[in-house]
Amino acid sequence: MPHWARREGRRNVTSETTLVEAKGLVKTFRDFWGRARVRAVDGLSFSVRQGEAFGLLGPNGSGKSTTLKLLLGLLRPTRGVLRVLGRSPRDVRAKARIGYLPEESYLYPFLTPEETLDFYGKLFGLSARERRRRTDELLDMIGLVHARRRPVGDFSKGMARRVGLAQALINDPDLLILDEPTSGLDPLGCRQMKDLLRTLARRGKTIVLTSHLLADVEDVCDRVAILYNGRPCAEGAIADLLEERRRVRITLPADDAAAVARVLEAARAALGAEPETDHPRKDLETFFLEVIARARAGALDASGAAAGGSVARYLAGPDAPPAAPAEVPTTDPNEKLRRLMAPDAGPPPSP
Amino acid sequence: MKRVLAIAALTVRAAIRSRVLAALTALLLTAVIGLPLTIRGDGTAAGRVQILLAYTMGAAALVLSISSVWSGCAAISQEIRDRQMHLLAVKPVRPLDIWLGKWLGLTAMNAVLLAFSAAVVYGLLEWTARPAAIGAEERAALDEEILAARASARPDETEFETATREQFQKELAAGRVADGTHPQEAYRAFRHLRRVQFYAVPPGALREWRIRLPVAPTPDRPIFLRFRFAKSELTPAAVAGQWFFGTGDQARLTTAGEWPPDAFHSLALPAQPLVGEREIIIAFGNADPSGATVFFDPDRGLEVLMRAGGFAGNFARAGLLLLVQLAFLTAVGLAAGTLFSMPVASFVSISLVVLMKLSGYIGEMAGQRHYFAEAGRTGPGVALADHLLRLVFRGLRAALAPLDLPNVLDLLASGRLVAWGSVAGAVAIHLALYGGLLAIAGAAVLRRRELGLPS
Repeated sequence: MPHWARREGRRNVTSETTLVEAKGLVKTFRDFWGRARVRAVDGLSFSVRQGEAFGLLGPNGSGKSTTLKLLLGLLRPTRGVLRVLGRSPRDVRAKARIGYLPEESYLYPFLTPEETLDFYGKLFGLSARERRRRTDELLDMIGLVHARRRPVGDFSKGMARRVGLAQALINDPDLLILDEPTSGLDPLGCRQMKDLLRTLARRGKTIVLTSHLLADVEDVCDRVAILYNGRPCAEGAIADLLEERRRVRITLPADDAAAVARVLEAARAALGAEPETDHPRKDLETFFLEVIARARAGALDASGAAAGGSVARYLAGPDAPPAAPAEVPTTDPNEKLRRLMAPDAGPPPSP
Repeated sequence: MKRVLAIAALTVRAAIRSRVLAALTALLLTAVIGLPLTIRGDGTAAGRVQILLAYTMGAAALVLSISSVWSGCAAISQEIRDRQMHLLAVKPVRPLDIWLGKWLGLTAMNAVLLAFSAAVVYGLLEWTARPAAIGAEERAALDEEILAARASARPDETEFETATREQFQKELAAGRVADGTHPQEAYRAFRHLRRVQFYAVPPGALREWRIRLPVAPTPDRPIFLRFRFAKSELTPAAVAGQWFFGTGDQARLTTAGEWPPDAFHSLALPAQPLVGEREIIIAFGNADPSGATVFFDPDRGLEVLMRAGGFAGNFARAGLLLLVQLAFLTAVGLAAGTLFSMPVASFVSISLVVLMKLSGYIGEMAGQRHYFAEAGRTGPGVALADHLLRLVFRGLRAALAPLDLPNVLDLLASGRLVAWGSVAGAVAIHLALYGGLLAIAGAAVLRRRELGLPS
């Protein structure tokens, strides 16, 4: 179980319904003459249940993106069975429930973010009123309200990626497929992306993603499969894969050195071994976000992406609280403790 | 349909934002306004009007034809190359919707550009034929002969065909067909010879033809006889003769004169004596003192033209016919662009267009039985090669023949009727049948194609 899930009381949201099922998936790329050149995916089997966040990990060329393209129907498997939302990935009824964020921006450079979202909204058959509402909320969420009428072609990679994310969410998808979702985003954007994915997961959305950034995957995913040369090398729940069940870590306040020494002495006596001690370190992302939060207090208008608002209301669900700025984690240990001790928020609203 | 319209609107928006539309508009304006200044006409108002209709409008149609093929090729192949198609293909949109959306967008753009060109040409026509620029007589002639929609009729060849076939059967039965000649080839040569004779008038002879009129003459609807002939002597001297027009066996009108060979001539006949008639007889008496035989061109050398409508309607129908052709070319480009990358798609599309332009030659070749053998080649494979080539030519003829359309701008420039039937036929054949087949093929390719393959 990811640490954020433990912290926020998110669990038991996965159902027995399988949204993605791959059995013995093989994808061989052939040359012009039909000769097999590369076997990008080789005997991959996995399933993703509703409400689960599933990560595909692996080095470059391990078959992650190929697997996603198979899920999206952009490639056809050479062998094996693949069902997405109970149908062929090429079935438009399945596509209607999928949101896809590619690794690169494949947006039309001549369209503005507003027009981009409106166009993709039309493809999903949304009414004009609904398109307007969702466009407004998504633009607010990705922090591009001020740039809604600038062509996407003029955007930085990070800004274009935010628009790409918004288009992936315009249909409020049941299954979100993300190829390197934090690629090209600044740390704030990464954080917002992860917050968003957590929110969506809380609502019972199913997420399949690939990433090179292992920390991101760890933060977001329930389960991962690690690929190498197109073959699965490891698969399972992150908690099961990473947890060292033979060791226990205790974190103590360091204010009272004598008290700490007594605890360590007691541990030595009880276990017959020397406990390892160190000072916990905040990670660089947390530190960066603190600096940005301080800087934002006197922020000036910027031409790039703004900080971004809260998750769009239609994505957050009907019971979502009123809009609030993106969460910046605190380093105050007491605050963390209060959060951990807070009563469980209960199951997420149904989608 | 909502999705098709969304993709069509996107296609138009792409053309506007990428300035393709502006560039094409500028190019068309240059062609439409600049071209008449570079062509020296015959100095008459009719000549200037014909240049505007045939050359200026032709230049605009050529620019739009090229841009239709090019933009058709680019519309899908470029999106596949730039991967924008990835985002489109993962949305709940059928491949046929994508194909139709692109086609509709490009055709809408063509319609706007064609309407713009036609409006400018129409304005120039009005300017050229304004009362201050030409006299009343010249204006009247223009209205009768060019700024009109004249239906055309040619001599009835039914009896000729029957007689020729019977005569050929007799020749065949009498064994007068050379050994080794295929009966079909022999008949083709025989018919050709008889047809030349059917339109030939020896010196001192009178030959008559029966013509069914497309509309019954009325007192205010004159009839024009348009003719062109060659003569058996290689001198450009005019040929003297006399034309007879009437119904049944009675010649009611006669016109004598001298007409030079190898040029089109037009005779205006008062309609009064022929009012209400649907079939007339025309006859030519060759009175040439030099003794030359006159040969009317069997295909275009003898026809009757009658006013069947106004110019504005004809111009609009011609525009529609051009638009149908542009829409078809767009479909060809789109289908090629679905299957191939941009350069290959352009090459394939242009090759197809050239093949269509060669339909006359292909038709001739399909009529032949021998190709290599005729060139003097012998050997065991020659018969097989001839057979295969014949199959190819016949297949091409069968595929291309329905696409053969008359040159609509030639019709317009000679004041001929562009009939609603032609427009409906083009819509049915070019759009519904061939366009539909291209759409289905393009959508099938798009469905089968793996868009996510590494480039």
